[in-house]
Amino acid sequence: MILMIPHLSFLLFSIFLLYLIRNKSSAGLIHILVSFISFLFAIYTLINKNIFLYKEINVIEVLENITISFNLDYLGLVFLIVSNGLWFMTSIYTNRYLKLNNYQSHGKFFIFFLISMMSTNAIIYSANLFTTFIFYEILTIATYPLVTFKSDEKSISSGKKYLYYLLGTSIIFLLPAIIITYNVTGTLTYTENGIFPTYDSNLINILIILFLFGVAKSAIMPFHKWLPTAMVAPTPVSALLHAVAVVKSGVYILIKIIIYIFGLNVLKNTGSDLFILFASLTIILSSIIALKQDSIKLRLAYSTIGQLSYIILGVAILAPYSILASVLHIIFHALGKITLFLASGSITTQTGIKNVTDMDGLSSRLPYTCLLMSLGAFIMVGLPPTIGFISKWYLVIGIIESNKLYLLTIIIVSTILNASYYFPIIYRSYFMPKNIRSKVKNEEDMQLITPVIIIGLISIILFFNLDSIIMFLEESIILK
Amino acid sequence: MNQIPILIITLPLLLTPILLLIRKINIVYVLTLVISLINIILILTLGIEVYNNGNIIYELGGWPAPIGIRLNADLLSCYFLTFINVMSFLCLVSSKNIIKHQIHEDNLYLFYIAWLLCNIGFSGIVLTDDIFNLFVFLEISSLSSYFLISQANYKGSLLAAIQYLFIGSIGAVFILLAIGILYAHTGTLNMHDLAMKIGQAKFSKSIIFSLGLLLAGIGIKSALFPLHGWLIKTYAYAPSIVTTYFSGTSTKIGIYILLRVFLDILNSISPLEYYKLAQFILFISLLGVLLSTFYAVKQQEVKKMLAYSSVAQLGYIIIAIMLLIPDGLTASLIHVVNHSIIKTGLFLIIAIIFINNQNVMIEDLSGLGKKYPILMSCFVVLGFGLIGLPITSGFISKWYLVTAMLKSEYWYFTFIVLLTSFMTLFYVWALIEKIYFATNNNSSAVNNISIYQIFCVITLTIMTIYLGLETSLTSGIAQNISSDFYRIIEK
Repeated sequence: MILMIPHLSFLLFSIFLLYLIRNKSSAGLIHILVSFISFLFAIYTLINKNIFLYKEINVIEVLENITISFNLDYLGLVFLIVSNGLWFMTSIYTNRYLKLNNYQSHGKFFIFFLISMMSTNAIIYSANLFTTFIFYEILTIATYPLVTFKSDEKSISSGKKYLYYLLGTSIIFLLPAIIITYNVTGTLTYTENGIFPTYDSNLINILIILFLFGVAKSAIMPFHKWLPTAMVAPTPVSALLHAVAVVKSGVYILIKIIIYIFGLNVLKNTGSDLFILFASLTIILSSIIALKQDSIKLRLAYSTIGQLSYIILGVAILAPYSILASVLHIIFHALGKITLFLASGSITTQTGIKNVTDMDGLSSRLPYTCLLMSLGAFIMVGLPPTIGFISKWYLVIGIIESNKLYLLTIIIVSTILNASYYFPIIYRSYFMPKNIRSKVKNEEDMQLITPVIIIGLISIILFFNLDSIIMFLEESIILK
Repeated sequence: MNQIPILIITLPLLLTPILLLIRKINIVYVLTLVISLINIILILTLGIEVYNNGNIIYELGGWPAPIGIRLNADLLSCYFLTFINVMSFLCLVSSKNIIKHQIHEDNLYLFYIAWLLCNIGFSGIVLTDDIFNLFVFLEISSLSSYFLISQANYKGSLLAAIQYLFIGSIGAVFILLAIGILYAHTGTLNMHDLAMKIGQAKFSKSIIFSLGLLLAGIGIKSALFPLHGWLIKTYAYAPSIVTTYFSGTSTKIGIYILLRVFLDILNSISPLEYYKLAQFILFISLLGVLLSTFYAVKQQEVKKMLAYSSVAQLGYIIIAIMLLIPDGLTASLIHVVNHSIIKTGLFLIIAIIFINNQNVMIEDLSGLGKKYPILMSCFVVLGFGLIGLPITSGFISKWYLVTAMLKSEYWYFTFIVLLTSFMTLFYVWALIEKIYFATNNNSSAVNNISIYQIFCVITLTIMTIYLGLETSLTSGIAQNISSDFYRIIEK
C-alpha cells in the first residue's frame, strides 16, 4: 500500500467537494480540514518512511515508454512535510485574512488554492521529468486565477505577464530540453546516478541552460520578473505559493535534474559552472534590486529570488555539505519567508501600510507582528540564533570543502546586502517615532496572527533540535 | 465485409434523391442523422477489420484493378474516414437551430443534401484507389461545399462562395491536368499501378511539371501557405456550422491527398527528397506558421482568428510531413486528428452561442464565463489544447512534432515552432481574459442552447483530454501507418 495515490486522490476528491459547497461559508473550514488531513498524510509517510520511500508506481502510459508515475525520495519527503505543514498553517490564516479584507467568492479562491497544492504534491511525488512537466504546467494554470483574484486591471495585466513568463519559458526551453534528454538517453525517470551514461559537455551545457531558463519557477534571472508581478495576489497566495510551494517546486525540480538527471558524477566532470554563474548573479542582482523596493511585498519577493539562488548554488557546488545546506535552506527559507509574508499581510490588513517607509513605530501597535517580522528578517540574513545561520554555515563549509573560495565573496556581499534591506524594516518599526498617517486600530488581531506565531515558534524550536534533522538528512541518498 | 467500403459511399448517395423528394425538413434532418450514424458504425467495423486483417479491396462492377475502379480501404483511409465522419455527425447533431437562423427556410432540405454529398465526396476521396476517381470525388465535395458556403444570409457570403469557387476550380484544373499528364506517361489511373509504372517510366520534364501542378492544386485545397487566402474568407462568411464542419474536415482532405500522392504514389521517384522540394515546402510552411500566427494575434474577429490559427496548425502538419522521416509522418497524422477535434470544438462553441452574428468580435465574448459556465470551461480546455498544454491532445501532437524536428536536427526551425506555439497563448488568452474578466452586458449571445449541442461540445472536450492521456488510438495507429509507408519507401 503506497500512500501517494490515496493522498493525491483525496486532494482531487476535495476539489470536487469544495466545488459543490463553493458558495457556502463552510468552504474555509473544509479547506482547513483538507490541508490538515493532507499534512497527516505527510506525517504518516514520514513515520513509515522505510515502507513508503523509493516505491515507484505507474499510473498511465501516455506515450511509448513515457508514463505518468510517482515515487518519493528523502528530498521529496522533506519538501512534502514543509509544504503541507505550512499549507495547514496558512489555511487557518487565510480564512481570517479573507474575512478581514472583505474578499468575495471565497469558494473560487479555495478551489484554486487546493488545485495548486495538489499539483505541488504531485510534483513532489513525480518519478520522472514527464510527470513533473505535466504538473508544473497545471500549477502555473491553477495559480493564475489566484494572482488575478482581485480582478482589477492591474491584477489582470500582472496575471498575463505571470502566465506568459511561466508558460513561455516552459514551452520554449523546458519542453525541448526534456525531449532532447529523452532522445539522447531514452528515458526520463529520475535515476540515482543520473541518466546520462556518456556525456558530451556541449550537450550538457546546452541542456543546463535550457533547464535553468525552462524552470522559471526557480526565478533565476533573467526570467525572474513573474515573481514580483505575482505579488498583486492576496497575501496568503504570495506567502504559501510564491514563497514556498511554487518557487520551491521550481528549485526542487532543478535539484532533481542536477542529481537524478545529469547525475553528480557527470556534472563533476563537465562542470556545473553555468549553474553557479547564474545563481551567483541572481543572488547579487536581486539583493541590489530589493534595496530599492519600498513596497514590503516587493522587497520580500526580490529577497525570495536571491534566497532561491542560494539553494541552487548549494546544489551546484556539488559538495555533500553544500547540498545539505540547500536541503536545509528549503526548510528554513520556507519557514522564514512565510513568517515574513504573513506578518506583512497582517500589517497591511490591520493598518493599511504597504511600504517600508510607512512602518515607523509600528511595534507599539502590532507588537507580535513586528516581533515575527524581526524573526523572519534574522533568518533571511542568517544571524544566530536563528535557523538561517545554520544553512549559511553549511553552505560555507561546502564552499571551502570544494575549494571554490571565490564564492565566499558572493556570500559575504549578499549577506551585507540582505542585512541592509532587512534591518531598516526592524529599525523603523522599533526605533522610529510613530507614523500618524496609518489607520488607527487598537487591538492586534490575535486570530490572524496565531498561526504565524506557531510557525515562528517552530523555527526557533528547530534551531535547538538541529541534530535530529541533520541526522535524518544524512541518511538520505543525496549525501552519500 | 468486403462490401463495406462501397456501402459507406452508396448508402448516403442513394438517400440523397429520396431526401430531395421528401423535402420535409424534420424528416430530412432525422434521416441525415441516421445515415451518418450508420456510416460511423460501418466505418468503425471496417477500421477494426482493417487493423486486424489488413487492406480491404473492393472492385467496382467486378472489373479487375488497372482497368476498373477499385476501392482500397487501408489503415490510412480508415484513420481519416473515422474522424471526418465523426466530426460531420457531431456538427449535424448541433446544426438544426443554428441553420434555421442563418439559412433561408426553403433551402434547408437542400442544405442537408449538399452536406451529405460533401461528406460522400470526402469519404470517396479517402477510399478510392483510382486517381481520376479521386478527382471526381474531390469535385463532388467541392461543388457541394460551394453551395453550403453560399447559403448563409450574411452580406458577403455569396462573394466568398464565388471566390472559393474560382480558386477551388483553378486548383481542380491543376489537379486534372496533372492527372492527365501522368496518364499520358504511364497509361494507368490506378494508384498502385501508377506507383509501379512511374518508377519505370522515363523521368521527363513533363512529369516534373505535373508534380508542380499537383502540388499547387493540393496546396490550394489544403490551404497551404501562401495559398490560404480563400480559407479565411470562407470560414468567416460561411454559415457558422459549415465553418465548424470544414475546420475539422475539408483541409484535412487536402493533407490526405498530399500524403497519398506524394508519399504513396510518387515514393518510387520521391521528388520531395530529390529536388529538395521538401525543404522548400518546409521553409514556406514555417514562414506561413509564423505569419499566420502573427495575423491571428492581431485579429479582433474570433472566426478569422481561429481561421488563421487553422492555417498555422496546418503549417505544423505540413512541416511534420516534410521532414520525410517516420516520426514526422506520425506527428502529422496525430496532429491531423487532434487539431480536427480541437478546432471543431472551438468553432462549435462560437457557432452555438452566436447564432445571429456574422462577425463575432472578441468584445462579444465578454462575461460569458458566468453565463455559460460549462461551455466556457470546455472552451478553455480546448484552448489549452490549441496551445498544446499537457493532458490535452495538443500536447501529444507538440511532443511528437518537436521530437521529429529535433531528430532531423532542424534546431532553429524547432525554436521557431516552439515560439509560434507559445504565441498561440497570446490569442487564446485574449479570448479567455474577455470571457472571465470583462463584464460587459452581452446581448448577441443566445439563451436557447439545446442539450444536444452541449453534449457535442462536451464530447469533443472529453476526446481532447482522453487523447492527451491515452494515445494508443492516435499515436499507436499513426506509428503503424508511418512505419508501413517508410518500409515501402525503403524497398
